[in-house]
Amino acid sequence: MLSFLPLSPALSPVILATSLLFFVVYGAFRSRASYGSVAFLALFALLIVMDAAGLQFALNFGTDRLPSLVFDGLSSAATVVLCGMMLAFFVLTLGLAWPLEAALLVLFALLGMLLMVSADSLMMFYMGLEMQSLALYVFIALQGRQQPAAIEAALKYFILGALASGLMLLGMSFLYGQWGVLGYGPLQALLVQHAAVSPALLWTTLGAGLILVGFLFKLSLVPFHMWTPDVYQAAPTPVVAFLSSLPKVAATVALVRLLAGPFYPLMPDLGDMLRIIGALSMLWGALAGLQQTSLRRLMAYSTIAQMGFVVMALSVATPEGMGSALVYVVVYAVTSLGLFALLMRVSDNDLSFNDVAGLVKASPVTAYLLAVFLLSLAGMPFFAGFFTKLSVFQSVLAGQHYAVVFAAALSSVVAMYYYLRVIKVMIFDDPATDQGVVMANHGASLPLGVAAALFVSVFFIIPGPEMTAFAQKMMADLLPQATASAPVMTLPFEKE
Amino acid sequence: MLGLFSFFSFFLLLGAVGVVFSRHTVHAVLSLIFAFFNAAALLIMIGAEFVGFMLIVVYVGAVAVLFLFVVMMLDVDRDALRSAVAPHKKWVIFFAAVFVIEILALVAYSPPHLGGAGAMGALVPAQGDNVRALGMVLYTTYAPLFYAAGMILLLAMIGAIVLTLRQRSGVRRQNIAQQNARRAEDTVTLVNPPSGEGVI
Amino acid sequence: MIGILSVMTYLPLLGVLGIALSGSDSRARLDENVKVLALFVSLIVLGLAVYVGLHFDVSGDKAATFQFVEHFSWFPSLGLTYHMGVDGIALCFVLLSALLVPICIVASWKSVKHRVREYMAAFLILETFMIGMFCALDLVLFYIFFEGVLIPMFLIIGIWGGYRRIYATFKLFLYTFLGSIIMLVGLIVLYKTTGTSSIPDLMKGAPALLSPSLQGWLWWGFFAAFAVKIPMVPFHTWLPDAHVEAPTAGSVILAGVLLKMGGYGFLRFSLPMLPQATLEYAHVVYALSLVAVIYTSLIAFVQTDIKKVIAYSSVAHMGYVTAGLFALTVPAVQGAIFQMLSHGLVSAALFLCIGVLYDRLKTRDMDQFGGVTQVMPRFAVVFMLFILAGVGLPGTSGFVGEFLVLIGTYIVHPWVALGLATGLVLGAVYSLWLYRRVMQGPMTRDAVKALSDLSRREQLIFAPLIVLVLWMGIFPTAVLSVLEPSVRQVLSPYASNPSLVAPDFSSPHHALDAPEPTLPHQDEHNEKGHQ
Repeated sequence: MLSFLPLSPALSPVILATSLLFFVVYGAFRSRASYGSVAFLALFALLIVMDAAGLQFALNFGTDRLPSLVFDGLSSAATVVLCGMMLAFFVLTLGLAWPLEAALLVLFALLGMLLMVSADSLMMFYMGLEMQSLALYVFIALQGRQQPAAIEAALKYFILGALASGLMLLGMSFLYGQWGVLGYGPLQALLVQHAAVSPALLWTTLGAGLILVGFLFKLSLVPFHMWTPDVYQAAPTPVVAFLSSLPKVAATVALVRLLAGPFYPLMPDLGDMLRIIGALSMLWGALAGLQQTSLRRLMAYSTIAQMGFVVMALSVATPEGMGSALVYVVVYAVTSLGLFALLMRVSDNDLSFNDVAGLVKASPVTAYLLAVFLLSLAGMPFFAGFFTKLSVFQSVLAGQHYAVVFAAALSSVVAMYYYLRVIKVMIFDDPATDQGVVMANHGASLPLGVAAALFVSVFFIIPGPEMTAFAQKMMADLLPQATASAPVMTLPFEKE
Repeated sequence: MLGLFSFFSFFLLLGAVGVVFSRHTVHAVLSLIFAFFNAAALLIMIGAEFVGFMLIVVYVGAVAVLFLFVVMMLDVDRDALRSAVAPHKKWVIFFAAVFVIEILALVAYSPPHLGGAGAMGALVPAQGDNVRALGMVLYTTYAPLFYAAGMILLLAMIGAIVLTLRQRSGVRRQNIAQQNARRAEDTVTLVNPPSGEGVI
Repeated sequence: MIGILSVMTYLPLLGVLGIALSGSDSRARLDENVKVLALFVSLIVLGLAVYVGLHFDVSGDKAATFQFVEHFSWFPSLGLTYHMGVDGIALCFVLLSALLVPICIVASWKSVKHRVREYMAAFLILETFMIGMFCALDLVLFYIFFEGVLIPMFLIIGIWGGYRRIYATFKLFLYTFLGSIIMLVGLIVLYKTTGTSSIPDLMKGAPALLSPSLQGWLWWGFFAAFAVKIPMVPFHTWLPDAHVEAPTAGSVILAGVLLKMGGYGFLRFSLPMLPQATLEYAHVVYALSLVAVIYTSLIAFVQTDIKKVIAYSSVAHMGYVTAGLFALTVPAVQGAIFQMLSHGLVSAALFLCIGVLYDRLKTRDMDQFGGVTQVMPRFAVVFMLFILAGVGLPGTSGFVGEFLVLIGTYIVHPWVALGLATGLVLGAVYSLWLYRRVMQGPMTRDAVKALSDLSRREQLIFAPLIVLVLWMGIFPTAVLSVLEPSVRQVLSPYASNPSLVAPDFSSPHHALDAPEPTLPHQDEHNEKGHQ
C-alpha cells in the first residue's frame, strides 16, 4: 500500500484526535469557519491518517502496540476503509448548510470507531463505542430545528443505545469479576486455559452474551433491531447515509476481534446463538419489509436482513467465514452509502413509493444506479452483493449448517420481492404528479453514486478477488492455529 | 464484611428503585443522591477510598446538584409520563423478573470463581496510598483510556452546546474590541448647514 | 486469452454501450439508430456462432469433448474460475439463441414504440446471458448466467407487456429465483464436497465422489430450479401468465430459449453428475411429464386466448423433453434435445404468428377471428406449417424429436411411451382446433375483412424458421450427428457401469447404447425377411 510519510500505524488515532482538537479550536475562533471549511480541512487529516494506517501493509502486518490498543493488519485495513468512507461522506456533504459542529461530531464518531477496531481490551472497546454512540446521538439530532422528526430519531437511538451499553457493561463486569482482567490477550489466555471447566465458563458465557447484546443493538439484529426502522425513517438523508455504513463496519470489525480473540473458546455456544439470531434477522428483515410503504423503513428492514447474513458468516469461526463477513459488510456499507447518496438527490426526508414513481423519467441515471444498488443488495449475479453472499454461503455450508442457509435462501427470495417493487415503481411506473419527480441538486451525490455503483458493478473483476483473499488471509493469521479448514477432496485425474 | 456489603447494597437498590418509581421528580433526584452515597460507601469498603470520595464530590456535588436545578426549573409532570408507560407495566415487570431470576439462578448454581485476581494485584504498588496508586497506572498503562475519556467529555460538551444553544438575533451584545476600535473619523461628521435648513 | 466464445458472449454488451451512448436530434431517428445498431450487433453474434459451428470438430474422439475452451482463474478464494466451452449440445443451443435474437429484434421493429432504447438494450443483455449460460463450464459461472436472464426478462415483461404484466413478471421472477437459490445451495455443496467447480471434471468424476444420499439431496435441489424453468407441472403456473402478458418478442425468446435452459440444466447436471439419484427419481419425472403432456393438452383445448393455447402447448412439448431425458437411452436423450431445438424454432414461430395477428387486430381472443385464411393466404400457409410442425408431422423437425423420444422411451418403459403417444394425439386436437377457429370457417368479423397479408419484414422473420424447420425435418442427421457423441458422453455413467442400471427395466432388449434408433422388433422382421 502507499505510504508517503513514514508514520507508524499506532499514530492513526492520535493524528485524528490531534487534528480534531485543532478543528475545535479553529471552529471556535475563526468566524468564517463553516461545515464546508472544516470538512475540507478534515479531508487532508483523513488522508494522513489513512497513510499512517496504510504503512502496516508495507510492513507486512507486523503488530504495533500501545497500552490497550493493537495495530495489526485488521485494524489497519479497518482504519483505511473507515477513513475512506468518511472521505466519501465529507465529499458528499461538503455543500450542505450544516452547523460546523456536525463535522466535529462525525470526526469524533470516527475516532471512536478507530478506537473500537484497534481495541485490545474491553475497556478501550467500550470507550470507543461510547464515543461513537454519543457523537451519533447528537449528530442525528442536529437538524432538529428544521426537521423535528430528527429529534425523535435521536431520542429513540439514545435511549435504546444507552440500555444496550448498560447491559454490555454488566457483561463486562461479570467477565472482570470472574477473571480479573479486561485485556483481550490475557483474557484469551485464561479462557483457553480453563476451557474444560464448565461451571467457570457459565458466568463467562453470560458475560459474553450480554456483551454481544450491545453488538446486536449496534448491528440492528433481532431482537434488538427495533430502533432501526424508526431512526432510518426520521433522520435526514445524509445522516442515514452515515449511520447505515460506517458504524456497521466498525461494529463488525470489533465483533470479529472479540470472537477471534477472547471469545474464541466459547465459539461453539456463541456460534449457535449467532446463527439463530442471524436466521431470525434475515427472515424478519425479509418478511417485515414486505408491507412497508416508506422507502426508509424498507431500507431499514433490508439492513436488518443483511446484518443477519453477516452474523451468520461470523458464527462459523473459520478464516473463510470471518473473512467473508468482513468483505460482506464493507460491500454493504459502500452500497448503502451510494444508495442514500442518490436518494439525497430526491429528498432530504422520507420517501414513499409514490414519491419515487417514474423516477426514470426525471433522471434515468439515478433510477438505474439505484436499481444497481438494490439488485446488489438482493444478491443478483454480477453485482458485488452476489459474490459476497456466495462467499458467506460457502463458508457456512463448509461448516455444514444447512438450516440457517435454508433460512437465508428463503429470506433472499422474499426480500427480492420488495427490492423488485422499488425498481418497478421507479422504472416501470409513470410519475404520480404531472411534473414528475423533482430532483434536488446536491453537488456530489451523483458522482459519489456513480463511483459506488462502479465499485459494486466491477467488484467481480477488480476489488473482489483481492479483497476476499486478503480478508481470509488476515483472519487466518488472527485466528488461533487450531482452525485449519477441513481438507477438500480432489478428483483423481488432471484438469484441463 | 458480608453484612456491611448487604446493608449498603440494599439501600443502593432502594435508592435506585426510588429513582424510577418516585412520584415527584425532586424525590427521584434525592433518591439518586442517596444511591450515590451508598455506592461510595461500597467503594470505600473495598479499599478504593479515592474513587469513593470522588464519586461524592463529582457525582453528588456537581452532577446531582445540576440535575436538581434543572428538575426544579422544568416542572416535569411525572404522572403524565407514568400513564404513558402504564399499559406496558406488566411486560416490564415480566422481563425484569425473568432477567433477575436467570442471574440469581446462575449465582445459585455456580458462584463466580475468581481466576485472575493475581493479575489485578500486581498493579497496585506496595505503598497502599490510593491516590498514588491511581496515578501510577492511570497515566501510564491506562493513558490511552484516560485520553479517550477526556475526548468523550469534550464531545459531550460540544454536543450539549450545539443542541441547545440558540443564536438569538436582535440580542444586544457588547463587543469591547469593536467599541475600543472606534475612530472619530467613522462616527463624527462635521456639517455646516445654512441657517434655516436642517441637517438632513 | 480471450477466445471467440467470450467475444460472442460479451459483444452484445458493447452494443448496449453503443445504445447508451447514442444520441440524436429527433426521437424517431434515435429509435431507428438504436434498432439498427441492435440488429447489427446481434447479426454479428449470429455470424460468430455460425463460425464456431462450422469449425466445430466432429471427428472421432474430439466430437464428444468441449471445444473452444477458455479457462483462467478468477476468484480463487471462492473457487470460481472463468471456464467456457461448447460441446455438441451447447453448440446447438448457442446457435438457436443467436438466431432467435435478431429475429426478435426484427419482429419488434414496428411494434415497440416507447422506450425503444431500453428495449433493445434489454434484449442484448438477454443475449449475453443466454449464450454465456450455454457456454459456461464453471458451476458458479453457470449459475450467474442462469440467474442473470431474469433481470432483462423482468424488464421486458414489466415495461412492454400487457395488462397484467406486473403480476406476471413478478411471478416469473420470484418463482424462478426461488428455484435458483435452492440450486445455488446445491452447487455450493457440490463444490465443497468434490473440491472442483469445473463442469467437465464433475461430469466425469462426480458420480464416484458423491454418496447416493447426497446425490439425492443435490438432485432435488437442482430439480427445484430446472423444474420451474422448463416448466414442469405443477410448477408451470408462471408460464401462461408470463407468455400472455409478454410482448411478442419476449414470448418468442422465452419459449425459444429460456425454457430450454431447464432442460439443458438437467443434461449438464442431473444426468451426468448424479446418476444414482437420477435412476432413483426418474419415475417421478415420468409421472410429471405424463401429467404435463396430457393435462396441459386438455387445458389448451378449452382456452380462448390464442397465446395461452401456445403457452400450454409449450408445457406439453417440454413434458416430452423431460420424459425423453430421463429415459436415459441414447435415442431418447437425442430426441429430447432435438425436440428442444425444434420446439425452440416452432414455438418461436407460432408466437410470431400470433404476434402478426395481434399487431393487426390488437386482440388475442379466438372469437374475434375466423376465416382469416381468405384475406391472409401466405400467412395461412406459414401458420399451418408451424402448427403441423408442433403436432409432429413427418417432414418437419417436430416429428424427428417426438419419434426419437417415443422410441427411446419405449425401449425401457413402454407404458410411458403409450402415454406420450396419447399426448401426441391430444396435441393434434387442440392445435388443429386452434387453426380452424382462427383461420378457417366463415369470416364473421368485419375487422378481419380488412386484414393485410404478411409484409416483407414479417416474411423475412419467418423465412429462416421455415427453412430450418423443414431442413431439420428432412435431413435431421446433420444435427443428430453433432449431438450424438456428446449425448453418449452424458449417458456414459449409465452405460459403462452395469450396476447402475435399475432393476425394474422389464424389456430384455434394453440397449443403453443402441447405435441407431431401431425398434426392438425390427431385428425379427429382418430375420423373417431374410428367411
